[in-house]
Amino acid sequence: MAEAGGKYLGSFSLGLRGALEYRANFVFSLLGAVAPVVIQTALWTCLYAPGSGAGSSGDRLFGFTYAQMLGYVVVANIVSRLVRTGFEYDLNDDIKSGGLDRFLVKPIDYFGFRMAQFAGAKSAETAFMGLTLAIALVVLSAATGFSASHLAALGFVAALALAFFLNFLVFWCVGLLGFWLAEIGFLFEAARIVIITASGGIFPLSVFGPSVGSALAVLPFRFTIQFPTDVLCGRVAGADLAWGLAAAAAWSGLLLVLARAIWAAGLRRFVALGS
Amino acid sequence: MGIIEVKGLKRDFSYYEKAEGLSGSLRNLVHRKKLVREAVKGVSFSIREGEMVGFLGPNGAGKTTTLKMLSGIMHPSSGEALVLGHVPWLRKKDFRMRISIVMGQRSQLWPDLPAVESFNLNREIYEIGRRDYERSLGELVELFGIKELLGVQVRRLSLGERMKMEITAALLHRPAVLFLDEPTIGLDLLSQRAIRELVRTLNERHGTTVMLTSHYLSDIEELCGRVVLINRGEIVYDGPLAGVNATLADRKVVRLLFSAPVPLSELEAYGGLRVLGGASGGSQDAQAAVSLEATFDVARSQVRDFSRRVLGELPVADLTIEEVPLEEGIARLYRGGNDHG
Repeated sequence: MAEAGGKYLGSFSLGLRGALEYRANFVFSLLGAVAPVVIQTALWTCLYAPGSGAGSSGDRLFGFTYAQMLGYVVVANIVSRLVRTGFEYDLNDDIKSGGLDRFLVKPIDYFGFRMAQFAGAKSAETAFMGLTLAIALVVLSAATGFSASHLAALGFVAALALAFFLNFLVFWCVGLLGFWLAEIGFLFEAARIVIITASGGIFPLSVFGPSVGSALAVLPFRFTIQFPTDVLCGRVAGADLAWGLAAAAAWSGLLLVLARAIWAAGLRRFVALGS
Repeated sequence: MGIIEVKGLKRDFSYYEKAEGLSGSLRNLVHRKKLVREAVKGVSFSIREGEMVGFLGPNGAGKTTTLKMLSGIMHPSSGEALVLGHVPWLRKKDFRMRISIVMGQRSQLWPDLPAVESFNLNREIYEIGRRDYERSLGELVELFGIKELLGVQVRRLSLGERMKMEITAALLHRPAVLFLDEPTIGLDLLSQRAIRELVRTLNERHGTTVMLTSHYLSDIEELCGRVVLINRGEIVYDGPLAGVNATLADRKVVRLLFSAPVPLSELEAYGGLRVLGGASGGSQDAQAAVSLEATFDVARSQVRDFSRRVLGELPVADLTIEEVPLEEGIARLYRGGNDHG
């Protein structure tokens, strides 16, 4: 008999092959990642420019020098791309159109399947974005003197893995609302914008001021983009890094329990109502 | 004890009534009138291991709802069912490993990938050993003749080809019980026949128990010795296919083709006129009407005399004597009446 765990490895592989099937779409989605970086770099260059009110390029804005801000923008954009979901549309479609049926009759856990398939679909993009990140860091290093220690790089990988899982769980929970709401496509887009903003994916959270910043600090979202970015940029290290990783893991555990509970309730409703 | 045991299985659906137009939509926001529809009203039956049973009924009769309950996709409102000794809706792993369901209007395959990728995933999901998988796939590929299609993206396959792939995917793990919900819907005659032959072969070779719903009577006639007829959520007949027309066994259908038009009034005088060259026998301008063909409903004992009379009195070019079509027996059972129309 084949290994029971093989079904999730198979799901991963299916996701990867599915992502590679449409090569043009794959390339365009990667190119789409470049535009926000260019726009934000231009924006911050203007804001830091002498005479803009922010002072000379050596001055700080929201606690960041110009070089730090550029480093943040580039890394945060790549991180947000790496953790970005998309499976929630499939999840919602399965609930709405009854496609979930095909999984219910099979000996496979739906959460495990979607997670593995999504990770597989993401892996090709992750490899490419990893390469992009490496090139970006070399360019940043030459242009702004950016540097990242080996420890920061290791911490970044751990923080990124947790961020990926955490973001998956956040959107999984949002997607599960499809069990109760007939049309939630709009909710996904609204949630994505709010969550990316609250994660520090557009600006560092310090831009929002101390009160909003401290409110956002108690939420899990910052662990999906800002935290890994800060780790790589060297703004979080040592005990703060360990503490942050533990907090991200704790949030993941909590959301996993929540996701399981929502799934169980939703599935009861789905099976009770029929599709 | 059967491999499928169903006792008093019932399923209600609640839905909301909405008045027409914008005002109805606005009122619907504030207050919704809840209604309940009984989709399945306490059905009971038993299916033996290796049996192939046709589950027939008009649209909305409760066929798919029953299959969904038996495959564990849906909870019943009340009643009991055991499939392979399991309560289906508890969806125990052992149960899911041994059943399969194919829904003609719902795909189980990944459209963007070749079917063989979905088959490979099913191999993992059902924990099928490599050798068993290759044997099983080889058998199905040969029976369906789909070797060249294995590497083609599912979305690029024709409906018939796709359905062959769906059934292949559903059978790789050699399920003991197979639920087929409209597997031939929308398919051409050749594809329908290929699917029927495959289902029959698998039943003979592996003793697979099959429960099949179909709109096409030929599916049922060719495969199932037994039919369960369901209408408005209730079983109206459960027995051998041959028994469906038992109450109509004393009737025959006589079809006539004429070499020259015959007035309707003349045809009506024979009694039992059913169909008249595409028009019914009771039209308003009946007196003026003529026809080149006619179908009569004749008592079995009268067929010989009737045939002799029409051959002698009318310009008959062709005469055929047939059993009452199965559809009529079924339609009559759906109506629950004893009429002969």
